[in-house]
Amino acid sequence: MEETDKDSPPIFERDKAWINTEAIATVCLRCGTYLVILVFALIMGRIVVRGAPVLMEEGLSFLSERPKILFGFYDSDEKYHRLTSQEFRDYQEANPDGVILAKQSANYSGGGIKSPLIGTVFLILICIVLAMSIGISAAIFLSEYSRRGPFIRIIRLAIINLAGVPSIVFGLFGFAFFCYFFPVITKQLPAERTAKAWELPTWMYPSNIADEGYRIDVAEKRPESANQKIVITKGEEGFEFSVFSSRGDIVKRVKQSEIDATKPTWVDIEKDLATIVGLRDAEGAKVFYRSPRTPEEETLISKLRPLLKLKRRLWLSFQGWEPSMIAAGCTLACMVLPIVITACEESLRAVPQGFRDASLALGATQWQAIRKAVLPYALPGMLTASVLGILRVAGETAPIMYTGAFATGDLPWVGLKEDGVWKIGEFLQRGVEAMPYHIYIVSAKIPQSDLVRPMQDGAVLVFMIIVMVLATASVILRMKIRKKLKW
Amino acid sequence: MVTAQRNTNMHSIPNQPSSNKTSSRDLTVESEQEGNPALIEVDNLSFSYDMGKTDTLKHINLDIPENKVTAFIGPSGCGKSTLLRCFNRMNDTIPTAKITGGGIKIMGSDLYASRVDSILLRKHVGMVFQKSNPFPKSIYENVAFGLRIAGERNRSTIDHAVEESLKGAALWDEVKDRLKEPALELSGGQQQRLCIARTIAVQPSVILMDEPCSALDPIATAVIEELITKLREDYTVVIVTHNMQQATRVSDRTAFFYLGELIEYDLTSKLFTNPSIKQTEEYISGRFG
Ligand SMILES: Nc1ncnc2c1ncn2[C@@H]1O[C@H](COP(=O)(O)OP(=O)(O)OP(=O)(O)O)[C@@H](O)[C@H]1O
Ligand SMILES: [Mg+2]
Repeated sequence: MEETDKDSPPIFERDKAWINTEAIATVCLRCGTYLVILVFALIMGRIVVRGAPVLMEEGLSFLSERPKILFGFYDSDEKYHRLTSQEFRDYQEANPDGVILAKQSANYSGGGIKSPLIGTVFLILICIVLAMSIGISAAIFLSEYSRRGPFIRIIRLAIINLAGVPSIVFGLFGFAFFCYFFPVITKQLPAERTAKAWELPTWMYPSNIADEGYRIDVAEKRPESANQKIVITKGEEGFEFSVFSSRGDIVKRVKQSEIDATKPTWVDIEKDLATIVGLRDAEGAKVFYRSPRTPEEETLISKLRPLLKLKRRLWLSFQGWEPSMIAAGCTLACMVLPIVITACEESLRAVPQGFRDASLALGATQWQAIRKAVLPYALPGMLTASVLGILRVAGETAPIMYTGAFATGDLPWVGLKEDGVWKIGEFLQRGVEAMPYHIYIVSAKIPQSDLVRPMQDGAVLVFMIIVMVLATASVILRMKIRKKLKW
Repeated sequence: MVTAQRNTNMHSIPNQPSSNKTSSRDLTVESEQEGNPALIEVDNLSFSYDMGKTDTLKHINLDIPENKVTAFIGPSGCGKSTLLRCFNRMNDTIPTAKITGGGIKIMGSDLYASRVDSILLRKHVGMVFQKSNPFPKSIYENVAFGLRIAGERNRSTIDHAVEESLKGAALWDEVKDRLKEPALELSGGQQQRLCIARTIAVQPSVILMDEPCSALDPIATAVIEELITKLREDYTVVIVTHNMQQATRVSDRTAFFYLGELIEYDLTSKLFTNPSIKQTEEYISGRFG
């Protein structure tokens, strides 16, 4: 048998080469693929295994409480306690002579992740609004209106390159541009630095501001200075404010000419328990007055009003927004813009040319054709693709750490209510805590100990779940709409 | 004799096409005999897709009579669609496209004069495309589309126009009970008739059809052909077709194009039975093309 085999080998005999390239290639490719799954499983597994117990233990309070200081210590029975500051105080009250051993504390590690969650939601909202409106406009222009040419080629090149800019560069750009250069219309110039600013002509003021004209705010909220005295006298160059302390000595005297409406001039004599006279900012004088006022003082004030000429002013100032929610949102929007534009262009291209032709042939203008026969069918795709891109950058730390993320447990609207009025205009200029920054803080910026662990693991897991749920939801939504909009 | 002679001299002296003049005068005479004046007059038209480097259409002369069906035939790539798209200025959407010579008049006024609003023009010169392209909206909304973009708000006006247009496109009886259903659920032939209904809803005077039946089966084709014959009463129809039988069935006149030039233009009966040019005869008998 063997001999016949040797004499007449089968025509299609397998190559006996020791190195079988086909098999090697298969194994390599297979390994590569499995490695991807392995990496994913390792990351997810680790996050779930470590995060799940935290969520189980903390329950919903992990989502509904703000980050707090956490104390950890052993009591006399060697039982370990993990208590937030409030709980710790309660514990001490309940056990006034309990032993506290090996006490440790960690910032932002107790409570939950309410404020970073809310901050991230606001950042995502700002980013969606900005990136979508700019991105969709740019995509429509590029794919529907623009004609081929060197200028458009440069724009496309810029978009492609923008996508490759490292996130930290976006962060620093946002810091320099949105926080400290972006032109804003403001009532208040920055106190600590100079920014190029032009005063707006009065006709540009919104009516409610221009109407206020000259004004002095008289705040009636200093009960401790109720028996202090402020005397306004007519000096040589106009009015003079003289402030007396409770002992009767003059604490401060301010001439009218010394009040410069463009500069904040604090006459802060609160320490002496005297009334404060002062100019808080460029918007006008703020005279903190004692209350009730004497009739003479009332008349003086009414006379003073026009004379002080402290008119409310508006500036176009290149001062930026300082690190704030809006600056961070803008930075994120810049970062996601190339993704959004590319995605929107793809969605537009997926709409058949026939729809455009048909509408044009029916006498539609180009904008009508786009709005009625192209955009409705491109929007679902635009939305999902953009949301996916935005979720991706919402997880970035680098672009927000200089532009608006703060290590704080406070919610962005805390303190916005002043004198019973919500200052909505200031809301966007608040800094916020955001999920990625919170995770960065608790895992890299505060002293590490076992106390911090649960916060790290829980926050990462929640963030992962949220991003994955939103991403899946938007993909499912797109599939549903696709099915409805088939052509 | 309605014949645009293929004149080789025309290339060298395009501005003095003397023999051409005669032929177009011939055309007019013929039209007057039929009692239908020319609605579209193409006068020595040359057209280029690449800023005039090469002419896709060369010195076309033909008059399209009112309330008649005119068919364009010719081998693929000879410029039938291009000429058709010149009639409603759809070529404006191509940045490099350009009329390089001559012109087109509709109802006596120059189509490419700078003061012509192509948007307004397209309301008078409707177009049905080769591939039926209803919007993914309801049947009703498809037909109402042209009215809505024209700013019509009155519900009953639109209702009425939709009904009339669907009747005009011989589709009303089939869809009157499901106007709110998606247009894309209709059959291919119904979709094409819907596109015709959508076009006549804006009450054009001319309907351009670019191979409207090429994607349809014979029965759907027959329905559309019957419709085209009926449309002739109210509209001037220009139809591009690759189907000789179709041209003979529906059209009153036929123009034969070859390589961007108009070879022969005549009454359909004459052109198909007794063509005066050899190329035409070869094409219609299937010997080339
Ligand atoms: N948008 C365009 N840009 C550049 N060239 C074009 C364009 N459309 C058509 N052409 C060219 O113009 C010539 C005529 O095309 P056209 O579509 O008018 O031919 P047709 O006679 O309609 O052919 P068919 O019977 O295949 O539809 C062809 O050579 C084609 O390549
Ligand atoms: Mg064609």
